[in-house]
Amino acid sequence: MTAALLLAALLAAPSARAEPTDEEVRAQIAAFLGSIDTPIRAEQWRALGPKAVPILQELAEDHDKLPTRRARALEGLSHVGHDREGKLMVAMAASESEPPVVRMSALRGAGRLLGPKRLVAGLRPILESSSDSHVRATAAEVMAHRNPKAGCASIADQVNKEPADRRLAFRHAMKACKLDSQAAPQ
Amino acid sequence: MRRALAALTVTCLALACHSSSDRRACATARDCMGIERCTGGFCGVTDGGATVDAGVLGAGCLDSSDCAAGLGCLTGALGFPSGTCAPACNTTSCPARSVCADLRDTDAGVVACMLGCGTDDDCRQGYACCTAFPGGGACLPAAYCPRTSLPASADLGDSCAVGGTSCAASETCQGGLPFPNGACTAQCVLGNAATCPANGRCIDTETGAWCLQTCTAASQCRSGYDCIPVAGVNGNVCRASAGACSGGPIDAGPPRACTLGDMPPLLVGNAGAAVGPATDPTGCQKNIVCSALPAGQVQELGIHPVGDIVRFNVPAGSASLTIVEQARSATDAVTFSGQVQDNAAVPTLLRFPDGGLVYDDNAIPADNDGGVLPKLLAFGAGGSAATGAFTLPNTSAGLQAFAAGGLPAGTWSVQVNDYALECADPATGCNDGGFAGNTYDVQVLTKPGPLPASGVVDVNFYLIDTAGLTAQSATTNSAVQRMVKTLSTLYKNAGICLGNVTFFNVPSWAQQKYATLDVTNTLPCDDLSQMFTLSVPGNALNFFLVQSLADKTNNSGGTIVGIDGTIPGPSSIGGSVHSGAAVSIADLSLAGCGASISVNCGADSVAFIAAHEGGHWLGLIHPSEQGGDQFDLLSDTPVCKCEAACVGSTRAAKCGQAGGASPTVVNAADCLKSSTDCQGGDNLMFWLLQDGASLGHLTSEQGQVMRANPVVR
Repeated sequence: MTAALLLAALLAAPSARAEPTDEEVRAQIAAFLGSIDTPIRAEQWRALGPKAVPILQELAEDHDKLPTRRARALEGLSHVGHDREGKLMVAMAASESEPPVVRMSALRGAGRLLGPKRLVAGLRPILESSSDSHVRATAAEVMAHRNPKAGCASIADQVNKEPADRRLAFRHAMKACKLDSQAAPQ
Repeated sequence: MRRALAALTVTCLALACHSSSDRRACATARDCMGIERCTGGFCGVTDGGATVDAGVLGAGCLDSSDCAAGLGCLTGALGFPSGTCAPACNTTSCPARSVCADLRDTDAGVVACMLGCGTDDDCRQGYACCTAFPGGGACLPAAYCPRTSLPASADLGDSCAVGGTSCAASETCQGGLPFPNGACTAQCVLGNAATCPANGRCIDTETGAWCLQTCTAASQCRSGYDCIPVAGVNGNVCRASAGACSGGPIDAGPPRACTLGDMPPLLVGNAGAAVGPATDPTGCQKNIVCSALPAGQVQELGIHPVGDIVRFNVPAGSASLTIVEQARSATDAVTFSGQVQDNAAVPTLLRFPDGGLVYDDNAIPADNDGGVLPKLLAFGAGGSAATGAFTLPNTSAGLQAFAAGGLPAGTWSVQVNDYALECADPATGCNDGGFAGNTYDVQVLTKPGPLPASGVVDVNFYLIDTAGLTAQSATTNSAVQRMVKTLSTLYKNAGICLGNVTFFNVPSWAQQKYATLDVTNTLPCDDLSQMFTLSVPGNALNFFLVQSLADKTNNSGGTIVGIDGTIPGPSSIGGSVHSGAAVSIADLSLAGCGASISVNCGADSVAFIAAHEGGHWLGLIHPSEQGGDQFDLLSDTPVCKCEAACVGSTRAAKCGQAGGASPTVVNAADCLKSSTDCQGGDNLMFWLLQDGASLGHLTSEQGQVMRANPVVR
């Protein structure tokens, strides 16, 4: 067991580092987008710095790239971007022409970049009108985690509109809002 | 891949945030609403007992419209006088000043937060302060308060006819997995032994919380029951000796003769009907499943507590052996260096017939350059709780030692073990003191030798995210066909061809629950592990095709595109909590596809991911991890080290701990250089896919490890 547990402990050790070069940023992004089963931690994305923003945005918007790569680029962008990228996230999340995995990543990214009020304002229409139940459910999750006070009422309304067999997709949001499917005893 | 549990964010809702400032002033009852009265200048509900603000938890109600958002009304018809507003707590915690009460055995049939109390005076009329539930007193109808301080039962645990009336008045005769041949028992409250007879303890069984008979020796238990300790319970209890074996494979079909790289026919499993329960099961599923291998290859050693030394026979000439531990009663996690980790089910002190040590999980040497671990005879890599598999050989030294005549024949021994037992030793650095009372079912699977130069593996695909497909339509879908053909081509590199490739539908509840999979945690009761319990009995690689894999609980990102249940997988054991690998199907299309295999082709990319996760199932780990500072167990796999020759001097300065929170990672370009320390970017098991680099290569020893796994026939 020792090796595995020590690895986990080492990963938690903090330290300082200098800003990476352009070449390093591009190489790191290429590696991060291709990761199969190794999660890229927020600190790793943030360490790329502002130089990564245009690169990641270009990748995210490139429809010739595979959906999971674009989704991963949005994930990275959400850790290094700012308000402007937040608007991009909402726009991509709202686009019915984007693949669901891209839209869901954009929703999570919006949750990291936008303030609570603007987040709910941007995501509520997606919650209420997206054609994909998992996109709607992801919008609910993000709203429930980032701004439950403003979001949970809308989530409750939407859950009530969902067919019974779709409500399980909303259970993470319902849990965060304490609206578990069995919450209402009646 | 194992990540620490994260604390759930508890959000502030109308209920939890209700304060005195929310109270509405009144002069008379006309100023109030519904069933409220004006008491002390404020609207509230009073029925002769304690007064509770209207609408909040514990308030009276006629229906849910009388209750605040997030609360429902437990009505008078359900046995709650004048009704009571309550939220559920089957999956969430209760607000302050309330207690979670499991009332599934009552007319209410819910698990709900009830108003907290110290005495009956704190409760409304018709309610008593019930102290049976953990967390303090709860205002409940007296009839719903479980009895406590019960005298000993004369027939607790005795044999009985299920459904009959031969048990004592407060007990029932239960059957099923926890009670083979029927046993007298009573429902109880977990964490409160006083809700059982004095000679019983409350145990979380496969079918709920039931009172089991206490014991101090095996002779006190009926045939078929063992006297064992249970985590969190004082003393031993009589528990069923072994889990039931599942039935035979579904639609496995006759074995298909195949040639390396050929295109297998695509089959529809279970005649197209969904596999798994028709409705979302309540509670955590932790099945003990018997191997589907022929009887001559399986030794069922029964249930054993950790620390037990068990013995088994290895026939002459065996190519490999696999030890599978499945939890009968085990803690899910341990805390090491302040971090919660899966309580890995991993055997230790594996010994040859002559007593020579093969593997000691407590004596794993450090391996900074990739040259140490391959010299071990075996290595336990899984790290998974509840179900763990250990296959030998899986190292270079093991492959070389047993290449000629197979494994030494005779009686081997091994100690049943998990991390919790290891944590019981203070020297390990664990923070929770460990636990030495977990119990596991142990099976040993042997594979006849010699190790073949080629083999066949059956593959099952489960359509969790349909992507518009059904099991039927998948078999004729062009992108699916390309994906399978590429998978076949990739495994050709290991000397493995695809036998039966079968597609299964799953129930709609599973599609909704798992399509966007939460992989925050990988403990046995988390979504990933519970999804794998849908896998059918039989001996196949089980791939669960989902839309995405993300951290939903923390909502902090960290998405991945594949994950294996454990390394190696519990081959021939379908339906356990780790009997599968999850793969994102989001890229499945013919976009970007040409004549040759490319990771820019959606179907090929999915095949690469499946082949990679299947490689983990078959016992392989990454030749080089992303930091370029950890390596696999084989000496012929190319390594890629985080050092100047591979990553350049600037990035080399940030390798490992020197890089702080974001150390240099080795990418594919770094690992395709002439230096022998800078290779492996083209290997199937490299940690990433990259255009122009990923070629799906596998070494000779990687192929041997894969073919040594019992899922390959």
